[in-house]
Amino acid sequence: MTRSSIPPALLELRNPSTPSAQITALRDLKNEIVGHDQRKEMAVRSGVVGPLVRILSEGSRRVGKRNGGGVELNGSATRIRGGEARIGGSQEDWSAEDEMRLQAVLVVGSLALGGPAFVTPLLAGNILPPLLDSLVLRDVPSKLIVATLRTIITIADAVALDRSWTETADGPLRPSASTVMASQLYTKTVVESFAEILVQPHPSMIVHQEISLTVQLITKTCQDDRQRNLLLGAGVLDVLATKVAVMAASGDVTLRAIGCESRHQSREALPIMYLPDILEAICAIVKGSNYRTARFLYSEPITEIFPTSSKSSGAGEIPNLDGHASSQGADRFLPRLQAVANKHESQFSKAFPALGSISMLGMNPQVDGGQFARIPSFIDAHAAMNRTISGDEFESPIFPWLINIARTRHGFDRLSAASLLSMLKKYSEAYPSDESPKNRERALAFLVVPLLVNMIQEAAHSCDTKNKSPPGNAQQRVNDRKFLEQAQIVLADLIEGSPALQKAAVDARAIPTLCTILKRSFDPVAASSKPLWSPRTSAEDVIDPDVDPGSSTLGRPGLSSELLHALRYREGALRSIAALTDREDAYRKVVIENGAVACITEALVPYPSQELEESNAKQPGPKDGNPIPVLIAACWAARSMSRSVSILRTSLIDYGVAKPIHGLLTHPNVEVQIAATEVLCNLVLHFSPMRDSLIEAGSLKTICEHAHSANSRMRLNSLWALKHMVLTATNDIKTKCLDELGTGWLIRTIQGEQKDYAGPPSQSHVSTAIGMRTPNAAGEQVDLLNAVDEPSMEIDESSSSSGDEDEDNTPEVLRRPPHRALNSSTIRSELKAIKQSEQDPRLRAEHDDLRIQEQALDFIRNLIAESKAGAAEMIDHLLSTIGSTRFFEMMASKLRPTSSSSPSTIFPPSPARTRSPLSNPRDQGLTFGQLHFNQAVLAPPEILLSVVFILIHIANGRPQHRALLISQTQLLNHVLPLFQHPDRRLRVACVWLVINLTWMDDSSDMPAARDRALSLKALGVEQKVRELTTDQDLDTRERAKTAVEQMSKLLDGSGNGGPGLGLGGMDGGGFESRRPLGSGFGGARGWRGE
Amino acid sequence: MSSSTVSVSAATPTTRHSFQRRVDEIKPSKTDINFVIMDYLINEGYPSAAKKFAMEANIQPPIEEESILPRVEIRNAIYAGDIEKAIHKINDLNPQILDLDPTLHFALLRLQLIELIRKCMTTPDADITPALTFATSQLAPRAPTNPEFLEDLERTMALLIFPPENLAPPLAALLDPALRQTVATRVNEAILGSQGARREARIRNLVRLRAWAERKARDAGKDIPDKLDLGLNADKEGDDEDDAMNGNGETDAMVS
Repeated sequence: MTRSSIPPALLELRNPSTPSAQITALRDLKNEIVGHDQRKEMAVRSGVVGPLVRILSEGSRRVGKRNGGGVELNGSATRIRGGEARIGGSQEDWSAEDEMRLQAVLVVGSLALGGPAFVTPLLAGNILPPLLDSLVLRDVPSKLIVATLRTIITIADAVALDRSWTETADGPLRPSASTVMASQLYTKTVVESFAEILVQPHPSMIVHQEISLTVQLITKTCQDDRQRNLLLGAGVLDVLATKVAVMAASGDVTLRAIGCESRHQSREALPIMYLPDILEAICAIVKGSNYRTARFLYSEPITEIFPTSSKSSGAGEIPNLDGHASSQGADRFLPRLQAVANKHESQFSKAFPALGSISMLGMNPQVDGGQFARIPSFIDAHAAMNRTISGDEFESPIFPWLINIARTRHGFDRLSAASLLSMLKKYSEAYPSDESPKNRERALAFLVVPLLVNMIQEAAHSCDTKNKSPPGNAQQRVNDRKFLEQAQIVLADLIEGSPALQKAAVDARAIPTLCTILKRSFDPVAASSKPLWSPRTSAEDVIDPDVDPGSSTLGRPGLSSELLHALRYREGALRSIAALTDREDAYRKVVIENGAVACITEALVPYPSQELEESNAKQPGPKDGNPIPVLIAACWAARSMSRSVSILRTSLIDYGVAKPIHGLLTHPNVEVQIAATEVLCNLVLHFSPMRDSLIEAGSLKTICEHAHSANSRMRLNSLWALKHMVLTATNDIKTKCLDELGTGWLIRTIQGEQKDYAGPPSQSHVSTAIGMRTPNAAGEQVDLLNAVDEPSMEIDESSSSSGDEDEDNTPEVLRRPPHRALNSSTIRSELKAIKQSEQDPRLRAEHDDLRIQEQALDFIRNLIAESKAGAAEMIDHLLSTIGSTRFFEMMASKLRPTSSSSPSTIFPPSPARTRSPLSNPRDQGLTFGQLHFNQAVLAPPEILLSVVFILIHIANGRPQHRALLISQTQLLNHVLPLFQHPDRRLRVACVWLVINLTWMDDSSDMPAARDRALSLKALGVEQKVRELTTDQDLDTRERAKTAVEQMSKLLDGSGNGGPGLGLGGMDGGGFESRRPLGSGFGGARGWRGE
Repeated sequence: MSSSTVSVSAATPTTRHSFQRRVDEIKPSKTDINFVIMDYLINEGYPSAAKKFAMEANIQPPIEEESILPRVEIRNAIYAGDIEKAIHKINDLNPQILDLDPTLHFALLRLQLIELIRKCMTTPDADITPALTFATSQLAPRAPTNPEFLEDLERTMALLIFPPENLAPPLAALLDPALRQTVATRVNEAILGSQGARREARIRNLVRLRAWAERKARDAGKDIPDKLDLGLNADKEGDDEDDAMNGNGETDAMVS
């Protein structure tokens, strides 16, 4: 009855007689193989794939034909049928062919459930195209579409288990299952049919299922930017935004947004159980792009249901009362949380805590929850202290709405809402509004982060194989696993770069949990299921010569789902740990106490590539290596941990992090290489005990090679690592490094691949759209480099299109941040700006180029940054290899404002602007505001700073170096304007340059020093320094006084030079010893971290 | 359809406990009760009853009947002992249900084996070969994948050995029609789960919640009556409803 029944069914399929016989055969086959891997294997071996593909493609061809006339003649009529027929049900035109295809689809789905081994022959037989072809809404019955979608999802799931996930090679020789799948799935036609399925009105359950399955498929398969943009282009994101908006407007009552409470429940709205599917799909699409996030946030349906608060109060069209009411309504979603006091208030409250509040706290321990405590009876003038966080402080009411969902609902609703929140938060950090982010952060810290941590804890508990709680049903187990894998990623995304949120997670005891999870991921996984017993010992293989071998040979078994789960939650734990420890040393210590460093080291070990190929049959265990995503996550964790000096010297040594990191530098995958280089940046700092061994192991050479990589991120990080490596290194190493890099290459890098920074004139004006961050963010260059600290790119473009004049003259204060100015044209231009900054290859290249230039300059700076004699030798070496004329010309080119043509393209016909005010700022009576504007022609301050510091270090060399520098009149002329640079670091640096230039080694240097001082005076430098003695910045002021004193002693006379020199010497000496530090890893900038 | 509303608040003992008075003070919304009933009817698969109830209670009829029908057919097939038909129908609906839930699949197959054995037991001198073949081909391969499967299979095969007149209680339980009901319920839940719906009617959860609350209250020593009836078995309507819960198929005791 069992084995015998497969061959007849197969025979029928191979030699089809009648449709009905085929249907019966398919149905029998399906009932045979369901839940029975042995029979599935037998079916595949005896060549079932071929007939299945045939049936499916015949079906879809017929559809095409049937459709051929219909669409042109009465396309609209068919569409209506598509809409109407669905309401009543899909049975009416259910033909025998449809039934046959349905059965075939079900058989394929059942085969695919067997795992990657079965999917390989299916894909080899080219099963996907006919399946995807039948996703055409207008002429395929819903029932068939649902079954097809389900089958495709099964195939996608199996593909995820495929070993290629573990393959170390960047580009495998043969296309892996996942690349095949991705390339066939993400084509314009398929994505458009997705959009078509999604856009249909949904009053019936079968349509709900179609939509739900489609978004699930998108969530599962959408992995790279190309796919995401394809989905965006097909309008999928907009459709999903509409779904969310409709659900919030007229869906389940518990989901209603503010102001929609009284609307009638509409059948158009999806039932609440589909909310997580939709939200997850939105996350999958917007992920990794501020532009896509903004597209969602400012899509019409979303802004309609979630109007930004100022729309009502700002425009004045709607009465104020209404605005008030709506803001109160928004608070419905947020519990009362005390707002973060502003600086003045908090100082006050710390210094003089109100008696009432203290006694209250003392009496009621429950209230004493630190910051949680609101002070109830604090009724006095300081009402501000009791100000609660309101929904208005978020860019859009969708924030409180999502927070509310995360708080009031459970499971995937909560997870997906938190996930979308983390994406939106990233966007709002990149493009902040005028409100302080503190209160928003506090709301997230108190309301969302603890929930996430709790979710991780619960999921970790129920996924723990050791505890013998009743396993629950299979679905529950799958869900728990998903929670564990995803909640950690969401947590990492949410708290990344935000100390307040990190603290909230630590307070919720996230670290011990995460460390336990990480450790457990290395436990041996239990075999998921034992194999089926077979009455016969082995299936006798009768290879049928007629059967195509590709589609009848089982593939590799793939990872067990348990192992994949372990690897995924390992990645999640590592990413969360990386995010938690990127700032606070105390948190790192807790991580160490919980013994996670050993696990991080272990997670840095890749799969041995050859062995994997040989031992095909053997299932890799959890300790046998790590796939690429885990390696990258482990690198991030190591990078975060290595930011602590003490840990760098203790734990990281003890657990031998350096060795695997060195190994990963030559990993075939470039992303892994980059991540490893980022760690290396911290490991090779001069105080790191690992530096010498790493250099000995040959990492210097590898990094120098990588610095020539075509990948700009690779170049950037390699130069960064080199910059750290040469700081205070011996001259041998420095010379070697310089030789490896090649001076010619270094010069080219510093000069930049694109010398002209000016934005292309064709670009429309968008500066107000994102001119919101820094007060001196006028030129794009300025902001480009701010991205060093803030990874989000923000490019403020200035351009020639009409209308920008007014905008540019608007004082910063009056510039309305974009979120508040919500008419469609501003939204459009803002979106355009974000898109350009993110996707325009030219801007991106410029941006990367500038950052690389900065690193290259810093590299030179660190080469010569030392007070010892070695530095002077290095200066000599550098000048001789590069050639001093060429060198100083290069420096000058960095300081020089960009060529005269650029300003005119940026700032058209205004005569006041085409003059170069910087050369003579006082005559023009420039205010700072105007100054920013004019700086658009200068290089960004970071570049200028690096150049000035190089000059400072040269001036710190031998007297002849100082003489050489002072003779570079042109170069010094370019330094001159920098004395008035709005960035105080630059002003101080300029003063230091003067101090060093007027410095005397000993009395024999005296005449030369006086000459130098005279030349400086002639250049007008002395005047500039004197002006700075009244600078608003204290440091600048004091240094300027020293410089003036030192100069005047040289200029005024020799008699009283002695004591003054002593003072200057002390100061100068002090600075010199500090300076290398400043140049190496000054502040947070030197620490490698994005 | 006020009968069930009445049945909830109908229990009026002679000595009124303070708790009982509080219960009486609470007026549950009729809409909510109607919703719970409708939810039950749809979930448990009583489409015609649901339609009639909707008419009587003047609420929106269930969105689509055809999503309930397959579940009804499958349930009826299991109740009737035609397990093969049930399995095929489940596979027609969505083969993943059984593919992904080997335990459920095994339970169904074992039920099928029991039905085969039952046939042998009822007809004298019957051929037990079909049962043996079925066990070898369908159940035996799956048995080693899970220790519970093995035990279940062994116990089921024991039915062939012992005379049907006096079976040990665990064996007798296998022949009890209640087993069909249990399996049918699990199948119903699995289908609902595969459609993304709640796996069981809300009322079951409410009943459990009530039991939990009562236990908590007793543990905490709260002042509540010694016995708290659900109110379902207290009167005639309640009995009818209980029948409906366990009843077979379309006949709806509640409306008739």
